[in-house]
Amino acid sequence: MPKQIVIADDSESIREILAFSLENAGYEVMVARDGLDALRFFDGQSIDLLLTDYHMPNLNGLELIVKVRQIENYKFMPILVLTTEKQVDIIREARDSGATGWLLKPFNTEKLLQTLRKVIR
Amino acid sequence: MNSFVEKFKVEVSEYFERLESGLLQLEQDKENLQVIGEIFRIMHSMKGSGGMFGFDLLSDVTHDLESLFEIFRSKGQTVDSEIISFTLNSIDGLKKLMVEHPSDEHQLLAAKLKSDTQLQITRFSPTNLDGEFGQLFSNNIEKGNEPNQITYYISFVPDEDIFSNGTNPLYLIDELNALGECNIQVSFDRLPSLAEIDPVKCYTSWYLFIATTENIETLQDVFIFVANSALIKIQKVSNENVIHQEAVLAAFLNAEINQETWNLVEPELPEPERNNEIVRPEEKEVAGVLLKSSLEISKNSGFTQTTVDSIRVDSGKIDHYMNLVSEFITAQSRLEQISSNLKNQELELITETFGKLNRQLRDNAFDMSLIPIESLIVRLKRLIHDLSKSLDKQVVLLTEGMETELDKNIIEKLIEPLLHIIRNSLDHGIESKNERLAKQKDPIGTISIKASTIGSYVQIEIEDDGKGLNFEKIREKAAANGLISIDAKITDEDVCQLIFEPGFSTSELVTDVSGRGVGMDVVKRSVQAMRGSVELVSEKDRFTRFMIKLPLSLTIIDGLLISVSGSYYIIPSSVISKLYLIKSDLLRKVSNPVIELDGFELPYLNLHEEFDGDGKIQEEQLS
Repeated sequence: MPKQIVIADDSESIREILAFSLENAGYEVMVARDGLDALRFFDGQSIDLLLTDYHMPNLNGLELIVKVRQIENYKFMPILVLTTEKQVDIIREARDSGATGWLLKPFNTEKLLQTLRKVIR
Repeated sequence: MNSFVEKFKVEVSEYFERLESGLLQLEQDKENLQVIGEIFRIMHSMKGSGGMFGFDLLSDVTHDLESLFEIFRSKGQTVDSEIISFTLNSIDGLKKLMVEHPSDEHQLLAAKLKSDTQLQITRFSPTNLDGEFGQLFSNNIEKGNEPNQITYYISFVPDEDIFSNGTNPLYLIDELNALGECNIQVSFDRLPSLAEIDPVKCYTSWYLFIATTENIETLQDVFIFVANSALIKIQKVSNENVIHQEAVLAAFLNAEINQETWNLVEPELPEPERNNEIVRPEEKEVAGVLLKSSLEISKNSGFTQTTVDSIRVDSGKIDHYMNLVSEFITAQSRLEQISSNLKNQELELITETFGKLNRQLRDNAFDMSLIPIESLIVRLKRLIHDLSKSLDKQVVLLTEGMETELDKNIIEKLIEPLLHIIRNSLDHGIESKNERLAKQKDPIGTISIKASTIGSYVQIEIEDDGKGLNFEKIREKAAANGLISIDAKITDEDVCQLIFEPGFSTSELVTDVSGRGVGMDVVKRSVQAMRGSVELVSEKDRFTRFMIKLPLSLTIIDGLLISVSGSYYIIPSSVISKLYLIKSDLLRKVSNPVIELDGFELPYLNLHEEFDGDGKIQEEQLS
């Protein structure tokens, strides 16, 4: 069974390029426009990875992570945060919220998959 | 790929529109942090996406613009008109840069936009140089590839709770394995006895040799996500591949304790409690070993020992504990009842001891889940700080009794209502500086929060010295809504309670300030949901005061067990003010049943009648 990945990003183009790259690599992808939208996927079904943008309307990436981590099934699920800078503050905040790691934009497919391999197989 | 680019172009044109309208809004209201935040966020998105889709110039310029707005967003500087028109001009420039194959002309334009932006940035932060230099240096470090295989020794000791953020350490070992030839040892030294094993903890450590052509930075990069949740050590063993030379490896391990040339993977995110600000080159080894534990630091480097007098416990565990204690109390009450029926002296004795212990256990559990109100005040301070700035009102916050403790569940649920009230006070209560001066009040407004414990209740008072409620308007509105009749003569005190009625929007009513209509009924509802109450007193142009009364805890209620006509009822102790033992001849019935107590005639109810009993009071129950 292919790994299930949830993508949360408010930019449609980023969502699509992520979905495109990940589907090509054999993952199954669910996309959400923002944190609130993403939450609907976490209804107990098996999800292998959450890939979320940092800045998003409604529920931002960190708020989303905190919410998802509170749900029993996703306590140990890997979560990666998309951010543009290797800002210590942002990364620390993300990690404190429960993120597993981060992915710096811009990235290419190779970098994306390489980072993913750090947290899922 | 092209369809993505097209999508992106559409997106960017939307971004441009939103930026422009945001900037124009900012022109009217230069301190609107929400708009500044939105502008910042759009710049940030454009920067990130621009690079993804090959619009590097766009990405470059927005990077600088983002830094510029960061100054206004979080460094407390205020936007001026020059910034707004400058940014609008830059957006026009950015539109020209939206080409897939930029010419020299485009490069020039981008460079100009960038240098102009830098000028603006220096205008607001003349001494801020460190960040840029830092970047310059880090960019200059070249990753030289060494052709020869080098052997490294890596020890990887994850923290026990490394799984809790979704990390699987095995993947990192796999990643290393892909970088070169590995000789891996797994250690289960930390594995506790079977009974103590927590299945969600990591007890495994890895020690490995790797022969690789990659440089040490690449190896460190493998651990980048876990640099703060594991003890990682990477040392060079040899400048060639010695992975099959067991003797060399063994000799290395033996000498390892005295090794001085190893490299520590510096934690990506330093944490103060790890004391790694003391890491200096000559102390590296000491610090490296001790990075794990501040206790050991004090042992080896003469730091004063800090005694640990508190531990952190997951709040879920406390909740669970409280639930168990509640169950326990219920079981114990049943035991007590059975024991009193059986009249077995031995049983009664042990039940009594049991009860005593139980009460202590309960008090102890109860105490554990209490946290001081102080923890909540930070949030309120923040709101007051932010909002008073955006409303251009000067306000000081006075607090009293912040050490008062409340159940943490109540504290959590209290945040929203308190934020509501404070927001309302700031927005509608406290007047602007000029208005206050005209009323001969202190130009600086005051909001005070007082907390105190009264019996098994905590009372929280929130008071502002603003304009108070507009009683007339509330009456009008209430009459219009049919809550009271038009000619009803109700006191100001009663009028105050009206604003807690559902659907009673106070937005355009109590105040002339338009905007958020804060539904006070929500406040009342959430306080009542915690078995608390809220009251309001106000005096025109003097003050508005909210008084919230809350039970100390949600989990355990002290109660008085009574039996009426064969059924048992529990009355929470918190609503009982006094108990009297009464002979039935004290009961009188004039037009209504009354009883004379402490010199007052008070109405009473006969519960036996009320609960469908025969109404006959058995005298022996009263004696």
